Amino acid sequence: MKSFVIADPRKCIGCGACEIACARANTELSIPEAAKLRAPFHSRVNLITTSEITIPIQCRQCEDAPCAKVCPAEGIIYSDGVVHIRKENCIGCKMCILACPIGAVDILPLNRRLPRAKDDSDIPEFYASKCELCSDRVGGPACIEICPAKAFTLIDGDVLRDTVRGRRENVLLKLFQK
Amino acid sequence: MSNSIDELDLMGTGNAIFTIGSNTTECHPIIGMRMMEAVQRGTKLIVADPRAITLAQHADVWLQLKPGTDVALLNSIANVLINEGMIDENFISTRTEGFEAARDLVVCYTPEFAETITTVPAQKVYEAARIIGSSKTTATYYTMGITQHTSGVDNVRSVANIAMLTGNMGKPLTGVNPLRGQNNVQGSCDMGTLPNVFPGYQKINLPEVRKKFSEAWSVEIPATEGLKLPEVFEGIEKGEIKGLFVLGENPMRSDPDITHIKHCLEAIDFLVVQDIFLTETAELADVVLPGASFAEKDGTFSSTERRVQLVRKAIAPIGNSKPDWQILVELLSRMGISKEYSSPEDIFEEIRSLTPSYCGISYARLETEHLQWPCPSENHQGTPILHVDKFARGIGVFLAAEYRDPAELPDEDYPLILTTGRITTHYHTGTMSRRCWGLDGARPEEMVEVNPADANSYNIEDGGYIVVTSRRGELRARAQVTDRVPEGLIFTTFHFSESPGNILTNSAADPITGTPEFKVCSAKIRSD
Repeated sequence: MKSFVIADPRKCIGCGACEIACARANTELSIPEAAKLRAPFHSRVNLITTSEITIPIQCRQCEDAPCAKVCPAEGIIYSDGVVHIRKENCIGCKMCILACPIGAVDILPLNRRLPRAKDDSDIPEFYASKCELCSDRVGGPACIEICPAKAFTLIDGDVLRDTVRGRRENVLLKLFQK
Repeated sequence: MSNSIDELDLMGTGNAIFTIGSNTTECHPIIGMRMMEAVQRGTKLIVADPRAITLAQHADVWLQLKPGTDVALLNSIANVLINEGMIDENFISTRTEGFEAARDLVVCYTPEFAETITTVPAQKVYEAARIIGSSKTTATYYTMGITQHTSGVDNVRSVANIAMLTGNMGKPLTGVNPLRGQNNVQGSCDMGTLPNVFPGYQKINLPEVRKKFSEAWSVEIPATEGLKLPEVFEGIEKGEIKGLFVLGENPMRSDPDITHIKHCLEAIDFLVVQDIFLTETAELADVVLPGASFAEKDGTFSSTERRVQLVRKAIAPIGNSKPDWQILVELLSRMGISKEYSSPEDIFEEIRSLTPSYCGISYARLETEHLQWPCPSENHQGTPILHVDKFARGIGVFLAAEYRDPAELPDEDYPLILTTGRITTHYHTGTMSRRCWGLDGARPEEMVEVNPADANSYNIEDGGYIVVTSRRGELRARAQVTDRVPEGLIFTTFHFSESPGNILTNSAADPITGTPEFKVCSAKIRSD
């Protein structure tokens, strides 16, 4: 099963540090360079604040990802355990935005003024963007690392297995106690 | 704060937190986070705020009061505490005076009567009072939502009344805890920047205090108190004040009714501004003195819990900027006062020699110790909790007040209440944070909070531009349609220079402190 990052609204203080760390982790530029070049700010995690709840939302790396299914250009694929955007294939049709049930995908305009990574040489004018678990980042997901309230958890196969096992044991315990 | 921040980590089942007029998770995120952790451990939480702030989502009781009605709400809590016998009679009789007068005043503030003023359902007030009255300890936290009102002093006194009624003073996990809005607000107040005191809150009107400072500084110090901020601008208008020296403050964005502020600053003969960037105020200055940032200077900051902390410079000042103390020393010397200071530590030595509450604090001790004033001698360990055996004035006094309306209420022309505040990503007038790629990227523009019902009435779309108008001016910004604000209330910050919240706010101020009523004025909106 694919891993994903989820936040706990009982802990989130709504500070937005995750958005800033995400935008930083997903630019090729250093922060002073980004400031100097007035690089656009794009976070792949979105802080939601309503009257009821304060929580950041990001891609759940669905096993049967509707964004990948709906993409007509093979622009969204499964790769190294994440639902990965192949920017170079993206035609900007926005089907992935419509298909995603949690609003995790954005379409971003390419900024030609900005320096790019070498493998990013053939990128279209618009391309889809969403959380890819910072899979290239040494420290893992930047949102988890920065959060002062430790509100994020990386849910992987082990966490799911342990959670499920614990709940099953709890249920049994309650049945026997009765 | 009468108590210390770390006490939050000791709270759990049986303890309670009461926050009023404080969007703690947004404005003091680390303290807010520790409040939420305390709630997870079983601490009861009561939040009084007009908006559905994040902390309110975690509250056992949320008292959603109409802005500016704090006195009525607090009096109604006191009313229930007294009527239901949930008061600490021993504390009241041994530590306080004026209880009877306060009791007689709050007797008519039943929750049912208060509801007609505050709109808070009476049942919620009973629930809140019973939590405060039955918990082992209740710590009260407040910020500008209490002080920035024409009834600010009455609000603070009403908060203190509840703490004294329930004996929640002078012991751990209790107290009256104002959270200061910036790293060194406490420190600058400690250093005598208020108009009626010298460092350490030593009163100007005491001859022995004046004598001590006059001798130390070799100048005769006048007995007259200085002016409060609103009086300064009045003085400029009347032509009585000819020159103004502004340090690290941006009144062109942070003071109420900035159209009036601009008029005053343009009228004044001589304006000097010392800051790290060319602020909107500095743009009007005759002389700008470039100060150094926190990273470029040594010294101390004193935090909200009265903790004095060393700050060390990481880099040398950039360009021709200088640490503030060096600029001031140079000015003093050019004005003919030849006081020699060699370093921030040298100045700190003078501070502690003249300020009893700082006397025992030294740079050497601060290297290894956590010291909170008062710290009267070198073998004193500092004071994490104030008012343990007696209050600063000896006996604590109940000063209950009647509810008074805010200075400006909604009417036909300006039907909405406007309240102002902050968001986490920006700092004060944005002078620093708007220049940070990440912070400005996360929140690049004002998002005026408008309730869906009002958005519907005024044809306003979520994310669309609106114009907000008050009797003093107007601004244009995007609307955020959200039920975080109730119908009839809109919220804006003062972080965004191009949509300056304080062009709208009212300069009416508390009669005692001169603190303006940033939290309530009337306004109207239209889509643009």
